Amino acid sequence: MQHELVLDPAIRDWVFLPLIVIMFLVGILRHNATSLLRSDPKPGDKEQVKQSMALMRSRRLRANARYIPEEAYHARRHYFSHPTTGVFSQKLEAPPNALAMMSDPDVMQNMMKGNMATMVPQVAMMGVVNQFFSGFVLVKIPFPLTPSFKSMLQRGIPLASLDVTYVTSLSWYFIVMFGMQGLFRLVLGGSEEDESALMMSAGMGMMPGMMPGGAMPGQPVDNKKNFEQERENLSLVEHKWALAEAEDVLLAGVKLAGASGARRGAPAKAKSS
Amino acid sequence: MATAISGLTSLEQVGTTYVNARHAIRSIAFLKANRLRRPDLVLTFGLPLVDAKGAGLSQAESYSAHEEVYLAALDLDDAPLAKRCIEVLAGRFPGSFRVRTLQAMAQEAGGRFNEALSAYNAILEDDPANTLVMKRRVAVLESMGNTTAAAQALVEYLALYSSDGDAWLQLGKIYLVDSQYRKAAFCYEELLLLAPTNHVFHTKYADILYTLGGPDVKTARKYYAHSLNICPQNNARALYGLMMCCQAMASAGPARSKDKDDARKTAALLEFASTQLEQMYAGKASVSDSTVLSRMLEGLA
Repeated sequence: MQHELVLDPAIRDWVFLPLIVIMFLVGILRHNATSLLRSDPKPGDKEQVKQSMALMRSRRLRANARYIPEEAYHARRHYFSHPTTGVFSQKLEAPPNALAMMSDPDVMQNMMKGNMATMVPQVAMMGVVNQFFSGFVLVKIPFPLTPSFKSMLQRGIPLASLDVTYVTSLSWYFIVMFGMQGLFRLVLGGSEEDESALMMSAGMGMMPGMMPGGAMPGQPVDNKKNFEQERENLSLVEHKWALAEAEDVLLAGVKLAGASGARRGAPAKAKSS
Repeated sequence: MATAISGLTSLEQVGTTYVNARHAIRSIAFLKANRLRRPDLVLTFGLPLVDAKGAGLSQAESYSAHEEVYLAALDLDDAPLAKRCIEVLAGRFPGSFRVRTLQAMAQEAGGRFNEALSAYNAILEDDPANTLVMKRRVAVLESMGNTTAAAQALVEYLALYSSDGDAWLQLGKIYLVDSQYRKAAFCYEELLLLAPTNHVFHTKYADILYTLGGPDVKTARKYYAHSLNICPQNNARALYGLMMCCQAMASAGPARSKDKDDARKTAALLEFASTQLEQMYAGKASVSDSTVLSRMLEGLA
């Protein structure tokens, strides 16, 4: 049985409590800094929307072409796949690939900002804790633990004989850091608010144009390839008008209904027509 | 999905009295998701939320409550309340496109259409693909009575968002009022591509083709027939249309209907439509209405 270590009450007053208060304040500071650094999301790219909507419209045309008259179909097909003036024949700039995205200063800057906001305070805090509060035991956990927790709870004091239940300041810092997230969510309103703020400043609560292709807004799609494929698909479609026999179907349906009872609610008289 | 968000499935569950903040939030979400334009109910539920200054709500809920109450206040012409709401939103989200749109809507509600229009144009300069603003611009132009410009703005919008059926419908209406039947027909063709199973679009498209006349009458007859194929019950408009088409084709003279088969088909369709109509009205219309109908049918046949 080891000797009980007596923890100086001054440690509680001058290390334990200040540490928590400092971390809390730094957390709030970080939250505000992030919202200051966050730049407004870029407004939707008009050309991108136009292209993906044109693809959707062409797919719709292929699927339902049989419901519109032949001239109407050909007018639309001409609009899409005319060799020189068609939508799918226009020259498209190659979409920026992932590498090009990385070299885009805007994207990089945003990523940097995000990282900075989390990394800098983290590193600074660790430095501060190491500088001022290292080298002593801060708290004692009131229940026994296996020795494997030693490396987790006693960072900074590699003392083999020290009981596992004593926690050093650096380790306590980590424990508090993770434990504080719930508190921040409570105090600062959580990420829910962030999202809505994002939506507000973007000005698009529901954006029908952003869905097609499953592409995230801001993520470029290779429409050049899609356009070529769609033009090819369109050229394979043979227009067959579904309504060519509509009247015959109607009259045949009446005769059928007349013979087999009152389907369609058609009068029996109509049979004779 | 809409009901999954709010947890409410009907207007009865929403009720007409304020219960608590949670219920109010869910009720407003329900009205919004189901596109029920009930500004009175939104005020019933939203006013306590706005008055409570967001107590017991998350910030997101509070701001969206402000937005809904604001829109309802505009609907009900309650300018002071609208001002109160928009001040909160503008204070929190300065320069946001959405807030700027809301502010322009107040000008629209106040009848200051030119100001609203320039505000919308300014937003579109910064955010050219903003659907809400593009549509509001069309609405303003229509309120101003400038249908030509409204149609142009709608065409601009549809060049981007071509899968918006309501917009095609609206554009078709504008063209019909303007007597631009060819263009209106184009809009309805798009609607047919969007919703090929909707018999109303088939009927409306046939109406336009019939109005165009000439060879299009034959096409119109096919669309009326197809409308009846999709929806055989209570489809009087298509039946009348069918009769009108047959009538027009029959009266076009033997030159047009020289095809004997076609003439027989026309006669059969005429008889079919008139018997159907008579049956539809039988027992439902008063005697005088029935005589009017039969006289009319005689005239057509």
